[in-house]
Amino acid sequence: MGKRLQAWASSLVSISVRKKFLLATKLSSLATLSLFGVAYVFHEKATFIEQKTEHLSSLSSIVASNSEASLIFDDPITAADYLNSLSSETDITLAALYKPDGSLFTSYQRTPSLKIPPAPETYGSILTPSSVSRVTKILVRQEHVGTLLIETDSRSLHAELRKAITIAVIIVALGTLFSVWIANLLQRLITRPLLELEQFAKQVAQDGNYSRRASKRFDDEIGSLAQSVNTMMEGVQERDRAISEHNRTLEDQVSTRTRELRTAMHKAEAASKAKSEFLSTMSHELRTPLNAIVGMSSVLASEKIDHELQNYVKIIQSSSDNLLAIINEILDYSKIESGHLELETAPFSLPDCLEEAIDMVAALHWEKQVDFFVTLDPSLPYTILGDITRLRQVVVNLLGNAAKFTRTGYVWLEAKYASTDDDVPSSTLSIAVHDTGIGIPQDRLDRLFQAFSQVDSTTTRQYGGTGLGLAISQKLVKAMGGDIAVRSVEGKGTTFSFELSLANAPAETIAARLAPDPLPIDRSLSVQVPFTPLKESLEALGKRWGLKLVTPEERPDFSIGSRFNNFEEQKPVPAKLASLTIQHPLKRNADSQGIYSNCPFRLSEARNFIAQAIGSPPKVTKNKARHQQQQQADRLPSKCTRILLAEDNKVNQKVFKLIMKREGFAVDIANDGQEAVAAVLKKPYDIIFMDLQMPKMDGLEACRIIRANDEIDQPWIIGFTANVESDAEPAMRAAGMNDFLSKPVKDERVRQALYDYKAQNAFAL
Amino acid sequence: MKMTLLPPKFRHFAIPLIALCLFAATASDSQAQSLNEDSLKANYLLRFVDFVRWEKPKTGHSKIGVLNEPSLYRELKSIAADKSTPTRSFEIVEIDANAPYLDQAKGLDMIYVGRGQKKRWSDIVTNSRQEATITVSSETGFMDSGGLIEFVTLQNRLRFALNLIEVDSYNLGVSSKLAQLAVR
Repeated sequence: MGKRLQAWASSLVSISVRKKFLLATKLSSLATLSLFGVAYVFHEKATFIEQKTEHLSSLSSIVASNSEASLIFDDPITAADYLNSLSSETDITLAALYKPDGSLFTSYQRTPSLKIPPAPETYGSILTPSSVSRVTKILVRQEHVGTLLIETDSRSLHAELRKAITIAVIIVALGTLFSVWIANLLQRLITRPLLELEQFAKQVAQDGNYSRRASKRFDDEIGSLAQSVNTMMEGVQERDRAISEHNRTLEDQVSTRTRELRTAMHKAEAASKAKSEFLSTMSHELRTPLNAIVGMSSVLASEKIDHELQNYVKIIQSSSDNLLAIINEILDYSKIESGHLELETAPFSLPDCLEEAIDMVAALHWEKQVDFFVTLDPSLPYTILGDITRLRQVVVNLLGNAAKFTRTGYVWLEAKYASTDDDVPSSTLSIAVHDTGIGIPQDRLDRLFQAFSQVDSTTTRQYGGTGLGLAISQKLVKAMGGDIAVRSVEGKGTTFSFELSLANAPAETIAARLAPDPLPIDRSLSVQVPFTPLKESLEALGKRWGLKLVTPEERPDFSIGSRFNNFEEQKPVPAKLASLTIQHPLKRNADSQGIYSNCPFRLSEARNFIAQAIGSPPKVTKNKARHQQQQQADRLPSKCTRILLAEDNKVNQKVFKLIMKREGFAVDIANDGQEAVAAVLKKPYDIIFMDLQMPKMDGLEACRIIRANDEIDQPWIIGFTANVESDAEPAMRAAGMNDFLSKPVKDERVRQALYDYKAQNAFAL
Repeated sequence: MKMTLLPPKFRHFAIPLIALCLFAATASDSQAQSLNEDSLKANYLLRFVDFVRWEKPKTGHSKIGVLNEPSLYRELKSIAADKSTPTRSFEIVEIDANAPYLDQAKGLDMIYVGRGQKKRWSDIVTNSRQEATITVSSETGFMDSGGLIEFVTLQNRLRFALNLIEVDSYNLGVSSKLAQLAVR
């Protein structure tokens, strides 16, 4: 009801002014005339009643006077004659004469059915809804001789009322019609100027011509409004003129600025291009001689030279490595700074990425008295989406820092779910690198992630580095949506950590993927590892595989012990099926018996340890293959392997040939891509080492041509690049290359590439 | 039959006794009827005054004489006393039939002529015309002798006749209301 009323009120206020005016006139006229009509009807009724009572009073007086004698001389017949004379009055229904004692003297009834009432006790006019009566006291010389009652019915009153109402209704109707007619004539005086003003406003809105002026008809409020509108129009016209003028000035300014900006942009683009070209050229030009230095020094180091010369060569190698790292970091930072960093989003194995990273760092610091640990929450997804190269780069950088500043103790890479405030499972991966190194003073923590900044100059002198590593890592992590946090206690150690989203990661967990058996393994396991996080990690993994954790006294089926540098040795307890010792590489000695594995201990090794014991086939991963090759370091491809080197730089050709010759391989040389393609067409090759930047035809193009040829035996192609590997790798993979090596070429890297080739081809077979 | 039932010594008293009883009963009934009639007549007489206009200036005092009708005189006197008010009074006098009438009729507004005065009607009427005295009687033929009002009994009701022809001779005005009620 209320909404209907609101809608009605809303529609009422929205009607046109003309209709409003007419409606107001109609309503006011109707109200006024209705009031008049009602007053008229009441007045007519009152007048009629007054007249009626006066008439009755006159009649009563006459009849009473005439009846005096009849009453006195007790002559009801004559009195009845008097009363009967009232029959000429059509609305008189009855008349009665009463004696002073109240008894009826005589009466007159228009219709016999009418009942004569008893003698009234009051005198005067009596008005009831159905009748008007007059009661007269008859006095003769002040003596009460009788009472006369004359009564009329209300028919005449009702007829009179009907007549009055009819007249009132006609007056109201005619009056309203007349007032509406008058209002219709008058409203034009108001609405016409308003409509003209409205039309004027529409025209202005349509054509935007503010030079128009509204016409003023009368000196009333609408005339004043038209005048105000004209004043406003003048104001708008003036403002438009000013705005146009200002716009012209602005356009001129914008035009000038645009020209200047375009010039500046061209200059900036040219500068940026020059910078990129400079970086590319520097990358190539610096690496090419460095390649020779590194290559030749590695060849020299393997020669039988005296101890002093060996030291000299080591210094050359160390210096050239540092120089290479500095060049790589500067190039990397420049790329990130210039906004050329593009992250890949592809599925990759989280354990592989992290274990490869710690492998790389641990291999460089194996001679240190530092234990390297890696622990992964087995409930983490095995595969995640992201840029494996950049993540590995960050982790390697953080691990490298940790290893660099840790003389004793451990470096621990930890991957787990980020802790949450509530019990809701986290969807965020937390990666942390803990060390027991020298630590960082609290007041220097804020400088850590600034470029070219180290804790102090002493650090630079003592530990080397450009101070770019953490800045680069922080930028990479931020690009991945995380932020590297650092906690450190000076003299005790440091923890670098960051978090990454696991959104869209496949549901398969690490434990499930690496499970030695799809069914729960009904065996027992006992872990004796003094480094608690690693112990807990291995136990958690074992539990997920169904293994029952038992104490050493219960003689387990599987037993894992340890022999670390900085922890007390805990030999594996005698096991029913198999026991394993995790040890620091330097701890391997003659008494090492049974199965052993070097730190950092990988989950895949744990899997294979169990799998071999229960008879499941080993699951071979890239890491596993690499590990097997490390254990069988002398197993290179056959000396008959046909190898082609596509390289335009003569020094590099010589270094490569020397390395390969020392390994026992003969190498054919192609000076550019075209020659490489021609050589492949001429003679089948097992492996091609292909430089990317060559005259005539680059390595990528040559690779694509070779891969496109179905008629030849497809060789294993390993790319050489002087560029930062993360940029070159996708392009090389896309072109069809199997592996890549970054320059400068070192003998161990070449050897590693050959191991990989053999491993892959062995499994392919 | 009744006679045989009575003892013989009472027989010669019975008839006169019964006749006396019957007379007494008749007389008693006649007296009651006469009293009621007197009362009515007395009322009428007093009311006639209200419907008659005298040419001479009239005060609220009215003098009514009753000739040879003692019972009416008494009734009239009694009722007049009741009806008298400070502004309206009645004086009721009994006219002695044996005394000279003219002396007694002076100042009368109305004279009721009773029974047995037929011989005097002419004098009474003549004097009344001069004195503007209303003449009223119950005797038949009174109006024919110039009397103004004559009581008559119609259908056992007391009515009156009015001699409208003689009204002017009395120098009186009679209300039409009264004339309307008159039987003649």
